Amino acid sequence: MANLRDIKKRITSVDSIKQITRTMEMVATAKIRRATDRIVAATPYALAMIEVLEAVAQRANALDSPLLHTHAHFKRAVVIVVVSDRGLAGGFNANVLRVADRFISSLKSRDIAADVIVCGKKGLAYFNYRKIPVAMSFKDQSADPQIAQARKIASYIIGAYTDGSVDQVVIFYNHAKNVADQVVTTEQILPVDSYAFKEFGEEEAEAIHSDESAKTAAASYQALTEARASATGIVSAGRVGGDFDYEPSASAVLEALIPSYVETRIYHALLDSAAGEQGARRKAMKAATDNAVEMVTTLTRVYNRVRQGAITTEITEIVGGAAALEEE
Amino acid sequence: MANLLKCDIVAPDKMLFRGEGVLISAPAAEGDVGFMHQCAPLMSILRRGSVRIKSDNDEMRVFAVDGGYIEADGSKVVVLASRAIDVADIDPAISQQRIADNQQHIAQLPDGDPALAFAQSEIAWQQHLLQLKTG
Repeated sequence: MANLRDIKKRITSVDSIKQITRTMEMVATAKIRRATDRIVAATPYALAMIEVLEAVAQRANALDSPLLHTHAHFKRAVVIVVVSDRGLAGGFNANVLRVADRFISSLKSRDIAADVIVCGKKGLAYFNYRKIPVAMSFKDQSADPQIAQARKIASYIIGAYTDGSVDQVVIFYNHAKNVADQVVTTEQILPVDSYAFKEFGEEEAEAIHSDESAKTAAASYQALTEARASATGIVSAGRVGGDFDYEPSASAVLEALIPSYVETRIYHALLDSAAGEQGARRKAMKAATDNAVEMVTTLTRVYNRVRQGAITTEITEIVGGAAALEEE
Repeated sequence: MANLLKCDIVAPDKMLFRGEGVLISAPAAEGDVGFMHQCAPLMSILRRGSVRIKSDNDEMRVFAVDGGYIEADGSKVVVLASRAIDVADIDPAISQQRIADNQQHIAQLPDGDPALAFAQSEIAWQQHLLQLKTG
């Protein structure tokens, strides 16, 4: 039988772990809201850009841009992996890394080289340990992605794709489906699929929509409604005027827009992953807190039983002793 | 007000301005353009410069933009700026600090480093902000 003091010690330590995990859960909850706000703030730009792109693509011959061309030979790919800087988020990082690793291996088996761009310390550690060369890496930015980061990645891949050294660019990240669920998502960034413009726009609109449930829970419904209203307002502006004059020319505008589109997609993947990270962490920490609560209950029960056992033994001994004295 | 033009200025990470103006000028690819109510639809690339919005009570709002796109259809102007800031929010001390930081950064970089171009464009942008702020 474990002794009383040991059990007491365990209860105290589980209790303090519980306090830590509960705090982390609350911190993550607050950060989810910030991350969702950021997605909402970035959405008007993305929607407006898609709208402009669609309008221009109709006018210019979309196939003029080198970023829309599929290369004839497929020799080298760039894999962008977006994970977090910190752990304690359940399977958040492991899921993305596993899928990305499998993809890289499958490329290798077809004799296609893969360059890796990593966002997040956890990913950097993973690839360094496996001795997979990393072309570019970002750390300490996973919780607060900046447009500059997306810009750097975009300019690197666009440069490499245009000069022909890279034939495909794929991004792996966690899409925050809602506050609790993250889905590992794979998207082809380059060559740009011109049919995907519309899809991306719809996704964005849907993203705002699905954020709604999260936001209602977070009680800042109003901000979202406003953001949504402003986003739709912008979109409709594009639809009104049909015949635009293009300066310098429709194809030049398209040429300039596509890199921005690539940048925007990467930026949104980073934002999405940041929101997912907090969601995953909250879920993991909630599970940890629940487990700790359960453990404290069990341990307390054991503690009481042991204590009661000791008391019973003591009483039996006293009664036995007294009876022995009386008999004398 | 029949002669007002709606205007949105959006940067990748947020919406900077949403309002109305009588006259809106922007640095389009082939020279500065002014927009008024019922203007011809135009879609253009923007240069680095400033977007000015004159409201119906003659107030002027100025935004620094670092390239992007502009779309105007006669009733509404949408500015998609790749980077933008309200001139009133520019802090010269911060700009000067950024210029100094980046110059130091450039000095340490080897020739041909991709980060070089970023640092240089950051310096040019901050200098542009300073120039707009000080007039």
